[in-house]
Amino acid sequence: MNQVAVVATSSLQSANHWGQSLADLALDVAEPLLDRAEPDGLFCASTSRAPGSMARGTSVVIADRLALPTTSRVYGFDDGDATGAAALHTAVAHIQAGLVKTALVVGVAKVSDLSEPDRYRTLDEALDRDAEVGTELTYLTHCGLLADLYLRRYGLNASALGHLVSHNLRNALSSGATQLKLAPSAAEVRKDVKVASPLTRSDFAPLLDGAVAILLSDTKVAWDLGDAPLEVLGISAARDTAVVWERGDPLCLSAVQTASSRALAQAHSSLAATRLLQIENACSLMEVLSLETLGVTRPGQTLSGYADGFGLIGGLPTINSCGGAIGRGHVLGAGGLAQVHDVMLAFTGGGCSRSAEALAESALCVSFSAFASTAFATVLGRMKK
Amino acid sequence: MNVVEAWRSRHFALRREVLLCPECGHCSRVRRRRCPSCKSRRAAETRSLRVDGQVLACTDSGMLVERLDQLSDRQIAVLLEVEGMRLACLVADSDCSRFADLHEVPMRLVLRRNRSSPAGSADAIEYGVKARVSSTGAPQEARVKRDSLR
Repeated sequence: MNQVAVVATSSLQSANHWGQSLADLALDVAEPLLDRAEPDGLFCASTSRAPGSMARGTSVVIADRLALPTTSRVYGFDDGDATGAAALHTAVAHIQAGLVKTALVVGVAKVSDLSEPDRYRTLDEALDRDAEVGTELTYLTHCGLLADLYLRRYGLNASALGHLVSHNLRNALSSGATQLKLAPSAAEVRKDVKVASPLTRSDFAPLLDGAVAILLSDTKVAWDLGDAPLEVLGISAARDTAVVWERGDPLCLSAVQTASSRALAQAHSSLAATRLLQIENACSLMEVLSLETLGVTRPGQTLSGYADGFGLIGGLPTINSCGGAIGRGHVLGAGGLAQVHDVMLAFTGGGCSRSAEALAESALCVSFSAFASTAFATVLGRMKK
Repeated sequence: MNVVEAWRSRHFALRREVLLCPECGHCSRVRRRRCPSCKSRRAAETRSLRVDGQVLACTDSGMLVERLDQLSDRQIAVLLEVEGMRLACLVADSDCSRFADLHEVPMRLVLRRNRSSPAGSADAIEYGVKARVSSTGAPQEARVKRDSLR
């Protein structure tokens, strides 16, 4: 089985790119990587249900814009928030199996044509439709109920939620991943518009246009193609009951736990040895539940930990060095790829204030859809020459 | 609205029918090959849930972002525990404007017209299962009214 390396990554800053179409964004992000190598496989992550995307056939259109060889394998993925990670893992498996030599994984989202409520409605597609018929409940509503259940179980005040958002925005500011000039305090975050009590608008990552591209190859040629490649040490995925309320404990994300422990075992590593964690946080509460399920923090104590500076850049471990989706903006479907890009920046000292992460030897990326009914874990390590 | 989809879910809407695992008693609204709780492959049995439940969690939610008035499209949703099954649903419109805090309030499942079917619409009228304060919970209802006056 071939070993796989992340040769190089590229990302467009999440924003409202009014003047660019979905294919334009994909072209802009992939072009710098195509100068390094001509991929024979394209793995394209784009949530087709997001109005404004090209729906079916997005991957074929992007392959056309990138002028890939006609013999290229082209695959499209659509799995909600976890689309990027699903595409990444499939690309890794293709290289491991020798089906593809060099793979380009592109995650792209175009939502700026939509109003803000419509952008959030795209998240409703992640819900189990059969169980939701006639309920008129939205993804945001379910998040609000889950947050209320969490706060009540541990006797916490809603104001504690502000610390997590503030933490992510501080990391995003330190790493230059956001356009914000100042990271708001936890108290300021709590003053934001209520979206699903006790959650405010700040508890949900802003849905923006953006794109991320990753070039993968066999480790044997990685140093010829990239300046500081990363080795893919372990990949794993797991699933859970799609209806969050039908789980034994809705506050336990067992898919996150299973996928992470299997990926770490594959990498012959452990959570304790992992200094950098990138955790999906389309909704702030899901980051809390992930960390508590993984055992990084104790149940009910994550928010107080964040209040004390836990997880900031320079801390051990560092959680979301670029602030995750809350900090840098949520590119729907490309979250798992953005995490890999963040690890690449951290390991190569890109951006600023990343000295602690530059010392890290391995990183764990956890990406999942909505309420973690599917979860993907990726362990990346520094590659030695 | 999707008329056929609503028709498919009529058993739950009209009789609160759910699927019960004969091995472990796990209740579900959807059909699966195996029970997600005990992994049993025995065929699930149909059962009608009782109407009374207890509120585990509640939220005041809606697409308020662009209107900023905190009232438009306001929805109060609750997570009810009914016979050991957790069910998330909206609070019936006629009741919800009065509610401030529904924690631990006994509520009852009822069939109500959905918001997606406004009065005067030419489309078919859609109904869904919602929650309302239980008539047996008079003291709690009084407390809710008192809370809403704060």
